[in-house]
Amino acid sequence: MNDVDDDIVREFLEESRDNLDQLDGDLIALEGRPTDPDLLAQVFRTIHTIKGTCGFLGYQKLEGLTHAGENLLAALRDGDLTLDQGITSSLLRLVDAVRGVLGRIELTGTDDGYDFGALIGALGRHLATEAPVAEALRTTSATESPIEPAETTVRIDVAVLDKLMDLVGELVLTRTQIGELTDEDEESPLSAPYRQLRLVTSELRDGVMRARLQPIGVVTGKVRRVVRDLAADLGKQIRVNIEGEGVGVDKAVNEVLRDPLLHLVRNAVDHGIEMPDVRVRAGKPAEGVVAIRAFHEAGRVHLELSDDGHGIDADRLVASAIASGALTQAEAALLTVEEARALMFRAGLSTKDDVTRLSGRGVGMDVVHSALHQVGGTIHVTSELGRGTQMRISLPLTLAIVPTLIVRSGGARYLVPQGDVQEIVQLEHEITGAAFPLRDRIVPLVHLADCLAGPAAQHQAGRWVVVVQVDGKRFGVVVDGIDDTAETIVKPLTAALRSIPVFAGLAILSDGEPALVLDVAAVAESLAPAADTATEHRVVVGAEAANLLIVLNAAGGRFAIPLATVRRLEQIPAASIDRSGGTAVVQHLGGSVPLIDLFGSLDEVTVQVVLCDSSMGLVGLVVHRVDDIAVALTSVEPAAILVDLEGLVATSGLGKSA
Amino acid sequence: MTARRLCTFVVDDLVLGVEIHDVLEVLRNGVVTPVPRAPASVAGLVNLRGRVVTAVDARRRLALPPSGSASINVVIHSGGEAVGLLVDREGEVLDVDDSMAVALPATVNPTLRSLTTSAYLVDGETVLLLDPDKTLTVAST
Repeated sequence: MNDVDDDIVREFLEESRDNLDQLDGDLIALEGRPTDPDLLAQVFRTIHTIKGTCGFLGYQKLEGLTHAGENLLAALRDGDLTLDQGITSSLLRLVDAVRGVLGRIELTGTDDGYDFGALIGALGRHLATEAPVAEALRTTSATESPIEPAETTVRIDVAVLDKLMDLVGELVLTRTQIGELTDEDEESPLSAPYRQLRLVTSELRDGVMRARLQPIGVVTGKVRRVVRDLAADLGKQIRVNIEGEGVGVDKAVNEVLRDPLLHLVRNAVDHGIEMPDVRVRAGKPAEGVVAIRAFHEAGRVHLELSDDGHGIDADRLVASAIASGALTQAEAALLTVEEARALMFRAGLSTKDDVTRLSGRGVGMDVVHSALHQVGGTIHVTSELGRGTQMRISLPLTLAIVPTLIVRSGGARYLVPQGDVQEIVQLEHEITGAAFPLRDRIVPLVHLADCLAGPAAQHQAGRWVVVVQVDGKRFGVVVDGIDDTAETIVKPLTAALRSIPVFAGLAILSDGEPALVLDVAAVAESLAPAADTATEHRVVVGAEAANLLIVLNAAGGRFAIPLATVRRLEQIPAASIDRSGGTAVVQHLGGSVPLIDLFGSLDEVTVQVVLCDSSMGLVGLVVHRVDDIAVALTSVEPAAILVDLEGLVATSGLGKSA
Repeated sequence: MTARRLCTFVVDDLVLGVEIHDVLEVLRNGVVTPVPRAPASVAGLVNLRGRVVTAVDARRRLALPPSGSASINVVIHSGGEAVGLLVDREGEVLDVDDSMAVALPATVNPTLRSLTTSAYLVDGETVLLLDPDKTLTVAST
């Protein structure tokens, strides 16, 4: 086939797929309004168009199938037959079959190998049972090819739009450079043209971004079909309400949203909404409701998916987690209700046997969560037992341009996505420790310089802390300084760099220098590969400059550890402590860290360890609880005893072990 | 007889080359932005007219002694992207064919050997033809 033919087929495939999606929606809408003449005419025209092109391109099997559909639709359109659930189902099967064949044509170029005899028979059988219909309903036979409204849109390859976006990005960079030059010279004749350039460039950028926008309805539209089919399979009655289908999102965002959304919807239908009799007994209407609301807010796209089913049973989730070994009883007891519900996003948990239909594609809630997270999206769940569940998904408007914060470390600049950043704190003194007080909390710290230089790095100091929140965990990243904010186009890493976990992408700064975008979650993890990242601790007493970490033993006795020696706070499951060598050790950063059991807390289920730098290397002090941070021993109330770290290390015989 | 046109360059006094259709351009070495924790042979990143491109240090990649004298960036198309190879000097464009092929000299180190497709004798000088994809793939495990 030559190029022109390829183009024609490709266009046929694209247009037909769009038409089939439209048909899905129209047919379901028709179920609610079976005699709507406009809808009937539209559905007829769509099938007719597909049939015509099939014939022209020589796809005989497809032509035969769509012809059968067209006959049925002609009868419906002319009022000889009234649409019912059975006919709708057959027509939807037709749509699916055509989709399947299109897929085959895309791969092999032909529609050979299909036998639609059964489906064509089914479609024909509906015709055989014509219900007598009043002549008045017979519409005048419409012309076979009505005048189509003029096309006001064009199809553009996404690659072309991406290229435009790249060019706009370069234009913005050049514009900034010119701006910096004209800034220096107030009398410059370039000033006025530069201002004009700024305006035009901004509009151009907005225009290109808008060109990539698609209505979110492209994705939410599929929801109706999915709900209809699944509800019918399960014998449930469910109504779908969708609001905000016109909300514009970047095409790439739509693509990311599709599978997770449909999975969540299937969950709502399967696990959320109860069977009609169960609902009635609970005093609810037999028909359940799945509602979707999409809207823009605070520069992001939000999508609320709610159902009025029986809600998420947090207790069952917890029980299931304990049963599968993902949680211990003790850990479970510490969970808040929200954290318990969030368990459903963890891999390996399910409270109901997944029907093959749902689990067949291997999509679990954990995949939903990570798919959304990978593009800077979040998902938040609220639920009321007996009343229903609401999931709120929030996504960036565009994946192309990301607002970032430029930070400095080790003489170089790096970018942090602003979506991760909660606040920026400048400390009065350089901080070297593993945590710092932020209002009423102690926030764990990660030193960016350590992370970038690799595990062999010396412990660095800095004064600026970028407080980030990732995956519900909050921690501070210590950097040398903050430069600026920048809206940058983030590109994927080049092949050579993809294996470095702490970098998420590449960008070009306004002065033309390439810069790396940090993956903050990976930054934290890179410094604690084995254990959980350190947890935040609530402080009862507020503190200013921090010099001492106050810890408790099981009896409530208070001890103070010089914060300068503290590297990290860890919670370690008892199972990862190795006592075989006589000294208790735990693996950290690829090495064995000996543990000193200060207070006999080593036998707890989860062990609190304060990792400290000593003359003998990294040492873990086992404590019962971390309590506070204080500025000086004298200000600690009630009093605490200072821990002599070196003394402990010397007397614990650690120096003798290999 | 397979004839090839090679774009050649010099690293540590060795004449190396890639087929000219794999070369996007040859530049005076610009600013290279280092990348922490990158594989050893990655010198860093270079801004190539708005496109960020990896720059590979040829000496490190080919296990040749370091020198800090790389002043030419040969930008090569490899693995679907543009990657720059930082070398000492530009060489000439040479036309070679099978009649000029010779065995790889014994002095060629194992790393360089594994990245060389064939060798040619041109005007008394040995020219090693590199495999661009293998040479410029530096992802660490």
